Amino acid sequence: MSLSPCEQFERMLEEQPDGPLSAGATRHLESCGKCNALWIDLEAIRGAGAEWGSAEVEPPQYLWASLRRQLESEGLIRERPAKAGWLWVWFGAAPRWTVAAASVSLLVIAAFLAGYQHAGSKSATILPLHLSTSTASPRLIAADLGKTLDGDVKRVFDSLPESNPALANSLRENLGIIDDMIADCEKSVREEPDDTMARDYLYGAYEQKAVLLATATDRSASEGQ
Amino acid sequence: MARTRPTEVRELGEAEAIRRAQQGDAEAFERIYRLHNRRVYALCLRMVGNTAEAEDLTQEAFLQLFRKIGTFRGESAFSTWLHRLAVNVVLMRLRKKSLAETSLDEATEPDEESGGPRKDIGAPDLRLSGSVDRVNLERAVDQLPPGYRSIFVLHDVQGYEHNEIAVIMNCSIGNSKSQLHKARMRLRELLQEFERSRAREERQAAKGGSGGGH
Amino acid sequence: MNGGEGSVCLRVAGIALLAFCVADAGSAQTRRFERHFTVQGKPVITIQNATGRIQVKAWDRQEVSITGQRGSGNVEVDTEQVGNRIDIATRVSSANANPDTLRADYDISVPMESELQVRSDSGNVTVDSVHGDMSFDTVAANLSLQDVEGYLMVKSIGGSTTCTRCAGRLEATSISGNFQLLQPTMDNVHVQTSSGNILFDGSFMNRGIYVLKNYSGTIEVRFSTNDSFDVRATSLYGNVINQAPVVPDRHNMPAPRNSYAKSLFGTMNDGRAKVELSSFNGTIKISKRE
Repeated sequence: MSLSPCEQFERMLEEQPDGPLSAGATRHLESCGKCNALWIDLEAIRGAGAEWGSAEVEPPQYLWASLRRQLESEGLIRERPAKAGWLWVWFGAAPRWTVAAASVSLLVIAAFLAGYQHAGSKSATILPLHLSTSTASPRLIAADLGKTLDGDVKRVFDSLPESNPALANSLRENLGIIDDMIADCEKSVREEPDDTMARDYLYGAYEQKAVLLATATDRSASEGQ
Repeated sequence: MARTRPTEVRELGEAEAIRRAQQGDAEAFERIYRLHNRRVYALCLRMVGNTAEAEDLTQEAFLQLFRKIGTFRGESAFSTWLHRLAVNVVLMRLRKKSLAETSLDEATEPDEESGGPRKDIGAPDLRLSGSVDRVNLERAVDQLPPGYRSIFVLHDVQGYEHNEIAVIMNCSIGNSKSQLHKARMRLRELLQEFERSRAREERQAAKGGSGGGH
Repeated sequence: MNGGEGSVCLRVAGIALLAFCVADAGSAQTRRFERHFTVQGKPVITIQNATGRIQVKAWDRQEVSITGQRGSGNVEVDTEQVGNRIDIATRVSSANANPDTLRADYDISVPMESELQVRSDSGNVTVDSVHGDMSFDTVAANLSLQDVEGYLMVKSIGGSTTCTRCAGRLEATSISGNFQLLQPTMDNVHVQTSSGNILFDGSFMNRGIYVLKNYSGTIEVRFSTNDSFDVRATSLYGNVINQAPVVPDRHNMPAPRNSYAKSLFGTMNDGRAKVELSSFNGTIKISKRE
């Protein structure tokens, strides 16, 4: 069913409410008082809105003080120490992806520990003492975390149930896929540090690895029950 | 409470402030607040129409922002992310209010999803008097359903482009344009009703004045 | 004399064979199980099965019926009803047995409006015509959903998922599983897989949001001329192939900061739905439905 010129005009307004008017629409307005009135009114509303928006509004001064008190009470604000220690320096200097990698690794280790404790495993992994008290350089700590993580991954995969080889094979295969993906994404982020999409994929890959390892832990724990 | 150092606060760039805020740095929080508080407050004020509620909503929006700032990864512009939070905070408040205070009028408002402004049968199609005054516009915006109100305030009042609104409101650009047109059409109807009411009152006042001589 | 001995041997063998068949039939019967539970309203059914087939179908009775077969005596089926919740779990009593004997296959009939929570490691899962929220947690199991409706959540490691004529909302993640969404009527779809392929072949609903993301592999979206959507498609190191007559976005969309990236931003008809497609190094195809 074809639309009347007025209906076409209104359809055009809905698709392009900010204009500009096409030649056909302009011609229609010259001959249609109703649509012309509509257009003038809508422009007046648009103009009034813009004028309203141009007026300065200032929130009251006490708002920040009130907000800050709330942030402090929730522990979200932490005052930077007068002498910034090595941890502050490292977090400041390290590329964000290394910080993310270390954070996810810590999360995964925590998940492992929770999984082992939940399963009541006698081989519960305790974080090596030297990692909890070390004042070693942050790069060594990241490397130590990596070694610990690799060791824990091996332990979890070794304890997957033999009664379901399809499960173990799928988990191992997918771990390989994710590790390759992480390597690719890390390379991409190194080459294009400003590329937010590459970073997004990298963080996503870390998350997926954590999910896979949590699944593997869960399956190895539940089979032991 | 540590002394603030206004000079140092002003010098922090936004990206650096975000990074430091993610570590809990108080000055960085303040810097982010100072950079964005006017726009967020204006948005809240224009959406809800009263200062007390706008202050409350502004504080809530920044609180949510600072609670979640650790998850910000830079996948969108920070200001867009913040304004999206703010709009969500306002919409939740408006929707809670409309559930609590539904009147017959609100209940019989056309569903904004299903076709938009109704047509008053029989009423003359009164043209607005050429300009729209701020008081009436604010009254009319106050009567818009939350979705129309958001789009109108974001686009026509606050000046966001449709692609930004699409991210803030999590809709498509086409939807943003369509909803904006419907919002303006509804505003036009409301403003026309105000003019009709005003004209009626003036006529009644004139009759009352002319009858006073008996 | 030899003929006599031979016939005795044959007879003994025959008797032994007969005895074996009887024994086997008996154990096959004991490996079969059947349970029935009366429920009201919208029941919740949870199923945990490490390996074996799970098939769930809707019927018009207010009853949950479970029939199936255990692979061997080393597998037990535990069922429990608490109010309107039915829990079904396979338990392995001897993990050292042959893996083929540790499976359990289920055929479950449920009221049409039921909520499902399924966990399976390997062995296919099929759900037909059930309306309700569902969650699936699988490792290598393939999932087939047909004519289901509800809030569907799928978490898989390597298994693939096919949804045919599904309605509602879908959130799905996998590492290497593929996804096929055929004739869906869903207004909110988030699918993410790393090395799997994604196919979306259906209409986009007004105000719908469709986010399909993978790392490598193909993302294919099929459209028809009546569809109305905004599309943002980006492949960082792969390709974007488009057959849709989209109008390029006139606003300055933020382009990826990577010189290799291929992108498409545009609107088809009046852009009622929002479609976001992204891939790290895979191919994104927007093809016209024949």
